[in-house]
Amino acid sequence: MAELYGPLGLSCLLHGIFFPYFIAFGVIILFLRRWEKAAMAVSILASSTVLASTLMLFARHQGLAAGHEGVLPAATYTLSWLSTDSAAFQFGYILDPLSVLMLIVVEVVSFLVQVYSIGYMHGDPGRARFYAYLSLFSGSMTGLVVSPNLLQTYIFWELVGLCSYLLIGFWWHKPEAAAAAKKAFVMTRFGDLGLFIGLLMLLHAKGNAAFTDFGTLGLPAGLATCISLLIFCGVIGKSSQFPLHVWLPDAMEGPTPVSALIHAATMVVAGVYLLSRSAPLFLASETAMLVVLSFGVVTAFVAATMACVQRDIKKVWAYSTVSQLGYMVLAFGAGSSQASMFHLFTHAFYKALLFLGAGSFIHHAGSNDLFEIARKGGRGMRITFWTTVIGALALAGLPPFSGFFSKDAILVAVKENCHPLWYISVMFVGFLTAYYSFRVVFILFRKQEAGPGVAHGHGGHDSPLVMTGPLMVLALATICVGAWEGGFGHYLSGAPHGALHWDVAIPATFLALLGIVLAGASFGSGGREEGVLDRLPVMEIPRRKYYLDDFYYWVTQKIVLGFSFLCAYVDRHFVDGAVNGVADTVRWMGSQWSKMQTGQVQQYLNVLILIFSILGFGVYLTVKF
Amino acid sequence: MEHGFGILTSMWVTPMIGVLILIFLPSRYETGVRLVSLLAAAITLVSSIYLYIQFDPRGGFQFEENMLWIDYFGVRYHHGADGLSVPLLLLTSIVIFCGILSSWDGIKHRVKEFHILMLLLVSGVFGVFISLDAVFFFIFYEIAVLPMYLLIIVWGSTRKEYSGMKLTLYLLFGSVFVLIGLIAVYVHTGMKTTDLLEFKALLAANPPSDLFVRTIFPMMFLGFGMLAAIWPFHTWSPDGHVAAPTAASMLHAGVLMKLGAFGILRVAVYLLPEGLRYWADMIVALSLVNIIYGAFVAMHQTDLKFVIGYSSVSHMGIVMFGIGMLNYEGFAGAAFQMFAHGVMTALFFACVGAIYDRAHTRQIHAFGGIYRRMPIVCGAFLCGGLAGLGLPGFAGFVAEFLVFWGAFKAHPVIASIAVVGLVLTAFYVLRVFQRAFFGEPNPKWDGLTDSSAIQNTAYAILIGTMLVFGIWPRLFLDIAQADLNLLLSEVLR
Repeated sequence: MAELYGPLGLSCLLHGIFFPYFIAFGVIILFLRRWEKAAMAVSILASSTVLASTLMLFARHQGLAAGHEGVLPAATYTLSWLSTDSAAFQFGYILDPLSVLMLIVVEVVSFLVQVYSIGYMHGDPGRARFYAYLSLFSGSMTGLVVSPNLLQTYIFWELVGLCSYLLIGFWWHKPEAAAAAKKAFVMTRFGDLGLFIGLLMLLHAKGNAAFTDFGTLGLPAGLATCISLLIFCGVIGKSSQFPLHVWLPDAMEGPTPVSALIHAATMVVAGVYLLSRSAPLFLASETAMLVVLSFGVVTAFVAATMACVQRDIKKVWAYSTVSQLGYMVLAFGAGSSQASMFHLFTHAFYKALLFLGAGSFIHHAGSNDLFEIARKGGRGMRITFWTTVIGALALAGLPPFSGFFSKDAILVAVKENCHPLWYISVMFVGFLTAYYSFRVVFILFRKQEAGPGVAHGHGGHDSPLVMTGPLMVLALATICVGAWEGGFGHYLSGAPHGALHWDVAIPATFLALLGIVLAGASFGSGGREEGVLDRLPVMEIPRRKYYLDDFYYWVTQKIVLGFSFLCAYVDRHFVDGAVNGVADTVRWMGSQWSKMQTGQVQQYLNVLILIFSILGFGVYLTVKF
Repeated sequence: MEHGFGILTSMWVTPMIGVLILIFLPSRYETGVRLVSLLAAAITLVSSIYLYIQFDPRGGFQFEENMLWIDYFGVRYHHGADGLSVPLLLLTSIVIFCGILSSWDGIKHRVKEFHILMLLLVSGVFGVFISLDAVFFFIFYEIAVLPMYLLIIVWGSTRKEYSGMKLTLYLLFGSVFVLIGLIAVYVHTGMKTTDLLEFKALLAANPPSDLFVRTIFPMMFLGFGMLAAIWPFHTWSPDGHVAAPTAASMLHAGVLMKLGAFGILRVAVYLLPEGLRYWADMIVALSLVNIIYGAFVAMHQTDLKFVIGYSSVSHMGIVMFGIGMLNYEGFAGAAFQMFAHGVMTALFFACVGAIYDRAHTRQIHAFGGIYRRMPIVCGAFLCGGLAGLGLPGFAGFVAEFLVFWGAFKAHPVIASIAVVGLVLTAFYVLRVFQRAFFGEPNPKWDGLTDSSAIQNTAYAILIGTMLVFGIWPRLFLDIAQADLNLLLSEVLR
């Protein structure tokens, strides 16, 4: 396809997207650990270079796509990385609408988060390290997006996991952060096992893992199901689907810009992206699609219920992210990878907005607690507050905000392709979503309390422009992106997108409004900290996180560590005991034999005669017979 | 065919010359002693890089030196390097160079004797990797093993007499099996020569009985396997690692354990390839135990060095696992894992040594938040840990990927079980980070200082090596490919 993109190709631009972040990481970690300002400058310079290259790439690529009949075919630029007799691996770039759209998400949010962090991380002694990790993350995420085969995806999949680990544990001196970082890594690694085995299985079957060949693999149905489900295991871990989602809420121990970038907009959606990338593989197996759908719906529902009962603003958005990831996954399971990607696209902007807004509140109030933020004058922070409202409107799925359009596409797909029960469940999740997002808004809208608890007392002040600027950009994106649905669909799949389905949109909007009304009735007036939903006894289950954390704790403490204790015991007392036993036996035999060295000549002679007699007898027998 | 002395001889002679100079250097010139020893290591490092670059990737024994030594027994002074040994020579020289740097300040008494023994040991290691004659191979093998005894009992810690004795007896015990195997082959081939290549030719001309192969191969395999810590003959290794001083641990885990795996390939598999085919399933089973069991035991340890010691047991299991797969991916992964694990574990021990020298304890729960005081040491340890859990970007990932891929081709179910080792490794490695390095800084350790510039150089070399080979694995695989394929074709014939 190189000729399609002109003689120079677009690989130069792709180099400009792939390399700067890694260079920035290397420079900072090696030379600029003590020069924080320089480290920030280098990182943001890299970020802007990448963003500029991405936008240029998008402009040129979309220009080509507009003049092209149907969907633009994928182009790959690769070099041989690892090869054996039975398979060869390429390392390089894949360029198609899917990767370009994903690059836009990653690079735009990365850039905004880097700018925002100037304000948020102001005065933190580890800023240089922070920017180094951010750069490494964005570079690895870029590598994941442009990866042309499953092995390269796996490589960067692990690297973004590492960055997530490093950034969750960025404030390493907090024990909770250190524990959360470990939990995130181990949980996702657990899912990655499936991905790894799936990769091996695919290699074994086809000797190839290039995405461009996924459509023509011709695998037997059982094998296709098996490989798809194994890949989906990786998705469950990385995109925090039920029941491995428990790491994501804990990951909120990291700095808030990190939560916005990694745990809302980019890394956690890598799983959804991988699903779209390997769509042909999944589409070959109805079982796999059904499994994906059901995991998505369960995740969306379970996480939404948990979001309803959180007091910590970041936790609300974290569970909300899990729930929205469930939406993306279920959209894919319902057969619409386009709706899934579009929701990924819109969600990235409004969820990054909500997180960065939460960061701004936390920065101001010094607390994560919703009620505490409200008491310290959250609504006085005008830009932060109103951009958060915009984000919440999009999250609740009200027109004309972007979330409305993407959720509509998902609901249409579910309604058309799946059992009505799924459709009803997703509708209900929409109601919960509106409720919990406006629960936050109504709580924050409460009047500032005067009194000794108010430390700052300057309710009218908002965060500095480096922080509110990105908020406004993201709010603008949240308002506008929805209108681009038609262009998005055409670019991604070459098919014109149908108009809104009013039979879906009207009930969905109605349910969302109902949720908002319920939230308003519960938290709109008065100083209550508990709403109608909170008083339901059944809400104890989401409050206890569906007992999953307890279960995992029990598994690690009792099963894993118990088995580890057993192995260590066996090793010390049986395996090593045998070794020491042999040594002791030898020593004992030596001491017994040494008793024969009595020094008495008569005894020596007796033994001598005895032995000679036996020998002589033996010789006699030998000769005779 | 006679070839005179060449660069390979210089590989093992250089450290010996270093030893000679040190013997005549008064022991009060401690810096001088260190410099001489570092210089000897540096020369071998340069030579091994030269060998690596000059090596013809088409394979076969190169840089050969071949002279008759004892006519009566047919002993030849025969050296040669192939795609299997050239990377290991590089590994050895990197580890000894970094080992000397890491113990620059750590070793305070009997500096001269320490360096003499280190150089003696490393000379033996180089000798093993280049010997193509059974007698020389065996002599060098013993030279490589014995100095460790003194290194442990003089400069060691934590039950050092017990561990030193255990290690030495164990490895000598193993080498008896190797010796029996070699003598059996010698007798079988008519006692005309001890040259491995001629052994090979004679065995091809006069194939031994199945019984011979099936009894002699496992003897050699176990003999060498003990040095590679094959389960259940592994318990000497964690004890030995823990007791040995830093640089000796680095050499021990980084290089000596590879001698075992190398011996399996160079002697046992090379001479009796049918034996590997016959015993492959057994090897797979034992090494699977190594991988999983080693990881579980590592999880339970409270001493940093024991954690790493058992992680070595687990990781060396991956080497044997690859060998047992009887396909190119497995072999290549095993060879690569030897190299990758060597560098990685050397880094581990260098870091733990630095911590121990300053804190005088290695108990994980005694620490907490020492990242504040020792960011570079902890960062380097982090790199080692990440390499250990198979993070892409480090050489270990490619090695493990190849092994598991080969394993999946041969035994899909067993491979899927072994892969669980990756999660277990992540679990125990990250636990160490969480408990010892992160968390609330313990005020008791406010006095700790970070590593010196000399130690940082060592870390940088080791991490750099892991990254270079991890990012561009063909650097290794192109070198080893031809010879591994040759060896494999004989196994499968």
